[in-house]
Amino acid sequence: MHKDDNHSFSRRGFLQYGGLLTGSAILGASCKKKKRNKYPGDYRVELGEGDIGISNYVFAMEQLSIQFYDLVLGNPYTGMSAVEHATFTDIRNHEVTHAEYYKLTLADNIIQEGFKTDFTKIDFTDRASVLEAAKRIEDMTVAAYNGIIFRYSNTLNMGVVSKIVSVEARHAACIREMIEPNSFASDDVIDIHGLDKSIYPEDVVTALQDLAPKGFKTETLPNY
Amino acid sequence: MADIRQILDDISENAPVVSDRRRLLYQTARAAALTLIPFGLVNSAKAQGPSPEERVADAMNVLIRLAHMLSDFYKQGLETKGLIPEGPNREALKTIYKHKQVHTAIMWHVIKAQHGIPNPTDSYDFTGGNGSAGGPYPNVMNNSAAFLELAQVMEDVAIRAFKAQTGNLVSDNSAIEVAHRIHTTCGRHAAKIRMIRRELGADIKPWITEKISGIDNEAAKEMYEGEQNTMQETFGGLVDMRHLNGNQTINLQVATEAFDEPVFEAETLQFVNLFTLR
Repeated sequence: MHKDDNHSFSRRGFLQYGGLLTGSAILGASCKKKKRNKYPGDYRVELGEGDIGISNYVFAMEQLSIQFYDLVLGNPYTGMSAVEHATFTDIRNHEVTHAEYYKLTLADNIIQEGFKTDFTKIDFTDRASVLEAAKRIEDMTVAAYNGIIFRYSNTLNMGVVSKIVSVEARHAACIREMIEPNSFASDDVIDIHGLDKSIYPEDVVTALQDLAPKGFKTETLPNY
Repeated sequence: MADIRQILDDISENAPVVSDRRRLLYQTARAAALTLIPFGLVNSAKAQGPSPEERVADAMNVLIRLAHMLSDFYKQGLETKGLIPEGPNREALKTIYKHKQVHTAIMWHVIKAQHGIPNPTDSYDFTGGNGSAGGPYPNVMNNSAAFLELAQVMEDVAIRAFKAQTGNLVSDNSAIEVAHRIHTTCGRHAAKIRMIRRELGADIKPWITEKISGIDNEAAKEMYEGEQNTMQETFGGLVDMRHLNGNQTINLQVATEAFDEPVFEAETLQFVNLFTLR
């Protein structure tokens, strides 16, 4: 994907999104530049600019989930039921699919370094500790997607990511139900307007500091 | 250009976020770009089509019809004596109903902000028989299992209908944002309904596997058409997600579950019309 790569959109995509290809040609900044650290001594992960930056950002969120669920499945807590195991496996596999999609479409523009996580504060032998972390990650993934999706300049990117975010919401509800029945859409995530959370990248990075201590360079992402 | 965060401020005393000037400027720039695009990239018929504002209002007007319908669906279900007995499942449906009511309110404000005329709420026959009470969901209001089946269809369709409208909202970032925040709330609703049905014995998951609905009803099954899609858009064309990049984990089930597919406008309206009295 990624706007400036070419404008030979498939006919189907063209029709599917109503022929409205947004302002990509006009407003999309070129992102062909190779990443280099413009801030010496700054070890935060580079995301890049424009749509590429956004996809790198959500790709990082997916990687965080995958690394977490790999640990959950690799060290199942005592008493993990067959349904629970299948649920974690499904969620992990969905995130793998999303990550592979971003890998394919980002190609050479993908963030170079592996995404470093720190899950040492999670007790993987303890169901409550695992589910609490899963809930945090899933709710934050939904909020992160909601807080960035409108910044895509290209509708093809926006369209595909839109197909992904509702699946993340399904995950979040499912994990919440495993902790407490009927907490799938509690008032702590859904506001008085019935809106799920939308959290902007800089706040996501702050909120996830313990799990992703290196952080991301969010200021290169498009501003509204 | 409407700023929906401002609208939220207006309709709520404790709105979470204030409006942002940069956002407004960017939106204006993108909307300006949009009005230019059709001359360069799209044929002239498109250039004479609706304005970006009208497109947002029109898209929201499709979605508000769905939202009105879902709101009334849960209202009728909860008010029908003996249909949903007291207990945790009734509490879950009450939570969902509470959200549907406010969704219609927000959409109303979004449409008004675009100088559109919001579609009013209709009256409904939830058997899907346009008032004949003889539609494809005959037991919906006298059998809780049948009610939950249609609830699942409605939630899954609502989620998928939003995706088809994303491209129409691009002139207004806050409309895209609000639409997605509503749509992930619906994603949570859908997952919960599916989990309730799974507990009652349906062979389904919180996410949609292939086009399996777990519902023995042709009308319901039809609404899952397209969910079996494994091909996703890239700028290089459609790519099959199965075994993507050689990853053997991604089989047919995974590839279809990982993405919710759009239901396009004509189909969405056909679905709503099935239940609408006129």
